[in-house]
Amino acid sequence: MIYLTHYRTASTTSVELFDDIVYPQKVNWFPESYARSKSGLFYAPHKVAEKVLDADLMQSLRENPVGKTAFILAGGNAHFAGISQRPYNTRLTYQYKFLPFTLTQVYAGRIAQACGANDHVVTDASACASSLKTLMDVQTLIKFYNFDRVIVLTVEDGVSDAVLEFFGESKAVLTQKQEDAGILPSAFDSKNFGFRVGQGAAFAVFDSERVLNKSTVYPCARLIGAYSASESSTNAIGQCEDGEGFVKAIQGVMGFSGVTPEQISIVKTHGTGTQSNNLAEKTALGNTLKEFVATSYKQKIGHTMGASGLLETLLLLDDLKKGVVPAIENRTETDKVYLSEPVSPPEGLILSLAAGMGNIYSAAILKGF
Amino acid sequence: MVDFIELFNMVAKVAKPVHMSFTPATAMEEKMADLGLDSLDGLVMMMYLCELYGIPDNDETKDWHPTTIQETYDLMMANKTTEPESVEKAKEQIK
Repeated sequence: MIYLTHYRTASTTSVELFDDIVYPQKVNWFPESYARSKSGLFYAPHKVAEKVLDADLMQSLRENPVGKTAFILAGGNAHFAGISQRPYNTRLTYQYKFLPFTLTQVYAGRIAQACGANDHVVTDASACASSLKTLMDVQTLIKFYNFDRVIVLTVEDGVSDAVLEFFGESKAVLTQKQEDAGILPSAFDSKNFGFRVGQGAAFAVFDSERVLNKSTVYPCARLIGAYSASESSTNAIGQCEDGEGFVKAIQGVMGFSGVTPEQISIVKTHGTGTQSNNLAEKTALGNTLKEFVATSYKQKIGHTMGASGLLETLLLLDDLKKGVVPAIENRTETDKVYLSEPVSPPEGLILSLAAGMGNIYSAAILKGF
Repeated sequence: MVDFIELFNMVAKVAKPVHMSFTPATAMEEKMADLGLDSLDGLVMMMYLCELYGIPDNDETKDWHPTTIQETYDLMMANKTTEPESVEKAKEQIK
């Protein structure tokens, strides 16, 4: 068995309009992460990551080794997007004097050493499915390669010139024009839709059962299974609206874990609120599960890209500890499944979903404690 | 004038991977490797120190690989266009 023993999250509900960019839009961001970024000494994704790199926890992990330890940086992309060579000149534009640190694997290596993770250091570039997809890697390393601990750090350069331009151009985010017309971010709703981009990060430690048995730490959750799938599509930035990818991921994780549809009662959706995701995810859930309640976090914290899958799962664990499954914000219709109002957590397991460009779909099943 | 060892220790603390410890320097002759600073730490430190001493990036600075604090100091003094007023202000500039 695999247990989540420690985690830290960083996200923000602070929203600001960027009207000096090609596609004006509101974003959830930490303004301080870009302070003096044009000096070339500061790198926004590193500044966001620092919010979850807890000094005491990292020292404890480093000084109390438990055995074979791996480190995964779920970066969403192979290099952080802000270093794009396009000639931007906005508040988000920065230079970076020390180029190697723009490469995710170099950054991963540095942070891994600081956590005492010396046995396996990798990065993941599975776009917005990245951090949830790494739970399949966590599972593989612990179950099949005898690792004792896997540490996951996830952060992406979400609020950067390049990302905002890409999502603006592809009409995936809510534009300021749409917000001015009264549209608010939401998911599975007939009036409101779409998302804002956001900054966020998460740090999570997964331990094997043998580590937990020797420890006095009380686990935060049990990772029952994880699975990632793809689908038949020629559009690598689109989704099959029949939910093929989501279905394969959900059935894959249930099959691997020996979990039945009836056991799952809470779903953390990918929930971008785009027309295609609404269709794909809702169809897939309707075809695979029985009775459940579903929520989404992107309306509250923005779409934190590669970090979103794991970060939102951890935020759900926080909410479950408080005794609530939160509503999907800005729903305009009463809905007891795709929640328009918060509810008390029903008994059962959690299914967490994420999707990413390249037609990747990730699913994880957890039991919260 | 800024105590260079104090400045060096502050910059090393900023340059090390998050919260990774190192042994603070106490003498100019000490070797960076003996303090737990590897070559990557050294490169990052040079980037910060050049910023603090107003030394522009160029091909020459990229070839600087001082091994002791004294060598680092000598490079800064020989090429500086400015210098930090205090360690506290320097920390504000690079942290």
